[in-house]
Amino acid sequence: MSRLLLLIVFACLSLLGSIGVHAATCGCAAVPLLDAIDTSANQAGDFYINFTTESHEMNDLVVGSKQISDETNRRRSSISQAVSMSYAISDRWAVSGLVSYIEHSRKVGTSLFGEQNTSGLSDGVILLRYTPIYQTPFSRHQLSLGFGLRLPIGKDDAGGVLTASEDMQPSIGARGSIYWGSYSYAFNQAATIQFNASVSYIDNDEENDRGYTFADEVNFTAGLSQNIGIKFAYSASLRYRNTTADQRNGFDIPNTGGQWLDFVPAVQYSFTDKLDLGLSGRVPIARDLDGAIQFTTSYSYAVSLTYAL
Amino acid sequence: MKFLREMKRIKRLKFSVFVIVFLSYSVAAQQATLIGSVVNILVVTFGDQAFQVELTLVADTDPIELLLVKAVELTDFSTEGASTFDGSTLAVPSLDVDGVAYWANFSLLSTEPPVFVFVDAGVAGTSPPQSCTRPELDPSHGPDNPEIIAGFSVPPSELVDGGPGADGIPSIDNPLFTQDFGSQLISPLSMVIGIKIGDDVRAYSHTVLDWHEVVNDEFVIDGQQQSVSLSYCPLTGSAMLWLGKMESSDPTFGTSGRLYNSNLVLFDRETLSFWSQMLEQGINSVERLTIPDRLQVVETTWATWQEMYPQTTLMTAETGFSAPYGLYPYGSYQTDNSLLFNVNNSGDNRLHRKQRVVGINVGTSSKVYPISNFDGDVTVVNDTVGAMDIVVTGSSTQNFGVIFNRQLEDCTLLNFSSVQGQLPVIMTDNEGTQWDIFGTAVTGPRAGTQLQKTNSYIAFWFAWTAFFPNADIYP
Repeated sequence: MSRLLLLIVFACLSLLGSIGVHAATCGCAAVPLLDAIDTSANQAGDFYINFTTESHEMNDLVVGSKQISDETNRRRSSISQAVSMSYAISDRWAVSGLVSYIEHSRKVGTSLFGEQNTSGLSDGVILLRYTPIYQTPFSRHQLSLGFGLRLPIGKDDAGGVLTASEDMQPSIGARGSIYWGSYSYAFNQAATIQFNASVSYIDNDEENDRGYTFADEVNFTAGLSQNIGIKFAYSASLRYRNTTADQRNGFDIPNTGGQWLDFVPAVQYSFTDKLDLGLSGRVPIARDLDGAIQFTTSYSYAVSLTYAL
Repeated sequence: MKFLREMKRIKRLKFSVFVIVFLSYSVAAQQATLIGSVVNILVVTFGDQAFQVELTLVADTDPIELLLVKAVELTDFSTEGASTFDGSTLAVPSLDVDGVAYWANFSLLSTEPPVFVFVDAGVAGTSPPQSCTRPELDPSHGPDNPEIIAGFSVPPSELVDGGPGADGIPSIDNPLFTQDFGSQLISPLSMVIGIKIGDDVRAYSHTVLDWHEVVNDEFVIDGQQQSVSLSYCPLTGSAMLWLGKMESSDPTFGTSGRLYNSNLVLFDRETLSFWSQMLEQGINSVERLTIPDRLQVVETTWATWQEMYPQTTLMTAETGFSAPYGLYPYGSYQTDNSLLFNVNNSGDNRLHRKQRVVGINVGTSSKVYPISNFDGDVTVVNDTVGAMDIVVTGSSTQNFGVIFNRQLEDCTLLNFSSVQGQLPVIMTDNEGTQWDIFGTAVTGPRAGTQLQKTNSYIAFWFAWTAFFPNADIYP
């Protein structure tokens, strides 16, 4: 725990920040969809469309902060595709939306039973953003605030005759509220080196049809990015995530919730001034998970294309 | 009754001449007669066969024994009013003693030599003259003809995915045992599942079972090495020991990853059929509605188990898996009011959801006995549930509860009272026999006799009422 706090403090003090490379997405319960939503549109009339594919492996068996061996050779993975659009209504107001499709798979290596798969339309997100301060040649700061909704437009009864578990459902089956903020600081006038930070809070206060409520979660990301020329950019960020326990009918579900600190590297290449290719990853640095034991993220990576209309 | 009195006099007078004279009789068609020390039965049916049988009273026996001295097969006979023998019980509908007709039942005591033992009798016409046959135990916990949905005998929508997936909670297939208890993560108040088969006594602690739920083990039973599967569901607090099928290519079980009413659903590794632990039956595929052979377990504290069976061994935490055995996987679940999964009848708040009860099902009747309601000392309750007379024994401090049929195979109905401070002996009956926690008579006139096991086990109250919503609660 103390190690985790130290790392968080280090992350803040070292002013690492995130960049605008379009990062990972996942419709599954454990990963925020906000990673995938496009927030590129900032100036009136900007209209971006983004396609992101993410692969997420959740095979680490962790007791508290210690990873232990999993002799069952369990493999749990999710692959998601998201389409996101952002449109700037004015220089201060913009709206972003996302829909996604996800495939989950689960296999216990030592089992006689085969791999279990579910798939379907996942949750959607709509986010209204307000940018009271934005970068100009005369201002190095940019601040955006947003409010959004997580919409259960997808399938939450996947599995056939025998319904799959909550974490294997494409959609969480309940609405959530999203509070979002982003800050950037350019270290030079050309804004080639920036500090980026974002924070989000997702309030999942609704139960799905099975009485299940996914945890509320806070995400804080901070990092540095640098543009090299006009075609290439890279970033390195740390992301801190904290969730409460999932609940069923108001009772906490053991072995859910905790804290994670991940390293998030990303690169971006601009084919043209309208088309960008992004590649990002996420690997755990530290985690302190609630309960006796949890399977959690081993790593994830994402590829994205963003096109300016 | 006159017949019984006379039988007792026979014993007292040790077959004096007086008895022979006193018990003169008159013979009627098909009737059996007692002349002196000889019982002559004109027709005894045994399956399709019939015999004329002669037995003689064996001197100085209590209960009275009769030696078969003659059995002549009959080719021409009538079954009307005939005595019957079903392989264990000889039922005589009319035994003439001094001009009075009695019905009488005798139980086969041995075959070499063929000896019967007197069980009970009454005046013919006042009690059923047929054989005294204890009602067959109905091994089913569920309805006999459930609705089948998509191949399942329980609603598949209620078979919820627990999360880890099939075998995600791995069974222990090669358990190791030790008597070096100090090296194991167990305390005196830790709960264990105790098994005693012959002289083989083993304990399996919740500490390890919480992480595996199924142990596939082997015991020597009736001289044969047999596979058994012990299952324990931490979410419903229920433990079962099932006998593996001898003919099965793989008689072991695993965890299916599914839960029904929050209770473990196992699968067998031969057919991959699912089995509901608390229903104790297969619920789909080729084993649907199959009921496993069940063996008795005792769930109690480690300290109590050791006191009862100091020679016990304990399954070790050397399982081949890295589970954190010192930790309980479900937080405060054992004591709080939470439910991790939706269950039927969750609104039944007659008891706290996690109250441990020992419950029994007899046909459609169901009844539970809260373990915390037992005295600290051993408590005995003679009760009747459905058509079965039962004895319930438990202790709140020693944290156990067991239920047996208190009607013996010979139809004798026993009444029990508790025995204190003599574990594993927990009760004595009205005949002076003492019985242990596995229902075995250890001293007294019925030493060696085994009480019939029942459809009973321990579980959390919420689970019992989820499966059996019509359950009564003692008292």
